[in-house]
Amino acid sequence: MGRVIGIDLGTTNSCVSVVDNGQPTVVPNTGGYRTTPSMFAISQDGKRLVGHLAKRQAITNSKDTVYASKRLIGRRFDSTEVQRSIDLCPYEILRGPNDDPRIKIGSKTFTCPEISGIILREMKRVAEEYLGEPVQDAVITVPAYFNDTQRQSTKDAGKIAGLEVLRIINEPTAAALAYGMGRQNDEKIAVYDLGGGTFDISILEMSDGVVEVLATAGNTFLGGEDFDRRIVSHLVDWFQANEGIDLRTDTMALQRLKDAAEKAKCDLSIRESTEINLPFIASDAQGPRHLNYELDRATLEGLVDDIVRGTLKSVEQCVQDANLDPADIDQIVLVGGQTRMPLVQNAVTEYFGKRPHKGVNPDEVVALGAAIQGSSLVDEEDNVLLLDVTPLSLGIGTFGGHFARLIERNTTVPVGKAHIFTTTRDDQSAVKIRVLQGESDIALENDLLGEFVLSGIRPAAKGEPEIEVNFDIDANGIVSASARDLATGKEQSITVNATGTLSDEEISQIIEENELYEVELKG
Amino acid sequence: MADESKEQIASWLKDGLDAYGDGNTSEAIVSWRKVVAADPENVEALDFLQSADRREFPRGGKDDRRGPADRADGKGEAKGKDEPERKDPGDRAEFAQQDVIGIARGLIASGQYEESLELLQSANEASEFSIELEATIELVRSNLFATYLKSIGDLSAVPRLVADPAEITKFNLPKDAGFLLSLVDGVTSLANLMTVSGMDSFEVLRTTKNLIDVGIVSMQNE
Repeated sequence: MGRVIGIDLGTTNSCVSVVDNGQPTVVPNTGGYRTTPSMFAISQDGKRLVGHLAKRQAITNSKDTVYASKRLIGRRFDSTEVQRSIDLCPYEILRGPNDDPRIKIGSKTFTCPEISGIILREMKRVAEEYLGEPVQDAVITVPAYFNDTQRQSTKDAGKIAGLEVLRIINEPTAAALAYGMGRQNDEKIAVYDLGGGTFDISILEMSDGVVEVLATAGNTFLGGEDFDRRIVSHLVDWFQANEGIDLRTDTMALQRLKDAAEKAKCDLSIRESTEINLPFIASDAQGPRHLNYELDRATLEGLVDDIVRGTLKSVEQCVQDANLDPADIDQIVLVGGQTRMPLVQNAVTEYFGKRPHKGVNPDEVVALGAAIQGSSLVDEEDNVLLLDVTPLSLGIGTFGGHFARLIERNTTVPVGKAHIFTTTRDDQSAVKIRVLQGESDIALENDLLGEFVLSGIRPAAKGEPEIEVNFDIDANGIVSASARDLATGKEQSITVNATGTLSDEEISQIIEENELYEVELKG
Repeated sequence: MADESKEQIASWLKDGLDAYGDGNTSEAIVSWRKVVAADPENVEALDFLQSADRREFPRGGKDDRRGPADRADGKGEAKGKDEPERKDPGDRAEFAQQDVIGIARGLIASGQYEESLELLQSANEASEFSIELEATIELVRSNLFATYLKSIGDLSAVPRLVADPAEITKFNLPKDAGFLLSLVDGVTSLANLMTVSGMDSFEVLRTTKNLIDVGIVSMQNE
């Protein structure tokens, strides 16, 4: 078996790493960047772009540039997140045949696993170029709150990218692993993850190699890009007040402002002020106009203070959900580039009463953890034992619309549970079972993973046949089921109508189609 | 003919066209007659004077010459019922387009592609869609594209900033050039700039050529 890569498939940026000579190392892409924007576009001249090049034209070609598709993966079209994305995203999101969201760019409609597959394929290519050898095996990270469908869809994305996904692990777990936590001591860890497009806070308990996610909270529509937008808005207002020109409708100007805002924000994490110079940003009868503005840290902090305070509300909620006090937390781990901002670090320090753990790049820590996990899966000498827990309870819909839990949340995975089903009518030949994941006692309020149809039940009086269905959650958090007739021992056929995930035929078809389209521009 | 004379002639031709486009045919004729005076063999000016003549005397010659009522601005005396129909604005635009195309072709013949394109694009913006006009523009653009590319190198070449960033504002660049310049990072090739800028490939090449000519960027072949 070749080397295993670890991929942090982020909402805004992705990162790939590998264990090299025993050390986890981030693999830079051809442009020298250590992270790659999770963006895919079809340019105005019809080329397929991924990564930095897709990002550089994201505003001027907004309708045909996909970003943050991770918010959509594995969700139902009618879900709140998809509907909100439809309101916010310039690209077109359509209802797919499986009730899944699909994205139309150019003249083609893509599934979400297909988009993620394109990003993952690029990360695979980056790793292969760096290692000088083909790469097949990968560990991919997902948010701790991802349900079965989202995890399965991410695994499908890996398959589309030509990867064998050895394991799907939770992002906060990977981060904690990269920090080397929990190997010796029992610790409670807060992972504060403020990325480009999402904010997640997770409280983990690590003990003897078992990582339990005690609680998780956050906001899937809050991240560093909100900070950028505040800066852009500030600059646009300033320019209009000083030059009398409104840049809001000029996409070229907005693209420049967005890039400059992101750069200024990064500069201000290490210095007190920075100059923003955008020559020839506009022109009028008097000639060209230039934007020259000095942004200082205090002004930036004033612009985004409410956003940072808003994250602390989620932190507080999460700590409460874990039945802990802030003082109970042993370590605080920061993840995501936005956590470099001193305002964020100070707010976290103030809340927990201790400074966050230092030493690992917050952009890279999740990918590094994934690589460590990947290495331990193939290297017998590397005895990292990592056992995640299932983030959501698994159960079935019962008469009256109730939800019967079969596997409770926070159960260490892999785990299996059997349940006996029988018939309610004489000679009933089939039973339909709805499998759900969630915490509500009302079936409808949970995520429908699939409908299991037990068919070919032998003719018998009602209540006589006993069919045992085994529900299994593997180490990836992915659910499967099998059934047998207890009286005869015969395996019972099960048809799984999974919602929102792709069939094997669909995946094969996508792989074939993608082979025809080599991504033309990368970086 | 000296270069200065060429420039002067091009200027008279353009002045005439502008006047003609505004419906001021007499003024246009004056400009083009200046051209003919300086260059009696100037095909474009002669051709254009013929067109102007057709506008001035649409029915069979000078005997039919009408008064100021037929000026393009529509001001003047009312005409009698036997007088010829006035041409509608669309017809006038067609006349003007034909004239512009004629002049542009003349400029092309003398190797003045840039001037020809400027003329054609002005006419294109000011008038309705004309396939002939569009085709002529494309012809000029393809010629210029090849010329620029030959001068720059190939599309895999990477533009790099060579001017002092602090000095750049001393130039008088249009904002599209400013935008393109903001994408020049010393890594992105010209081909990729065409893609990521979202700008027309020809405009990217033309702008890059201009930026090279004024010493703001240089090209490095990979």
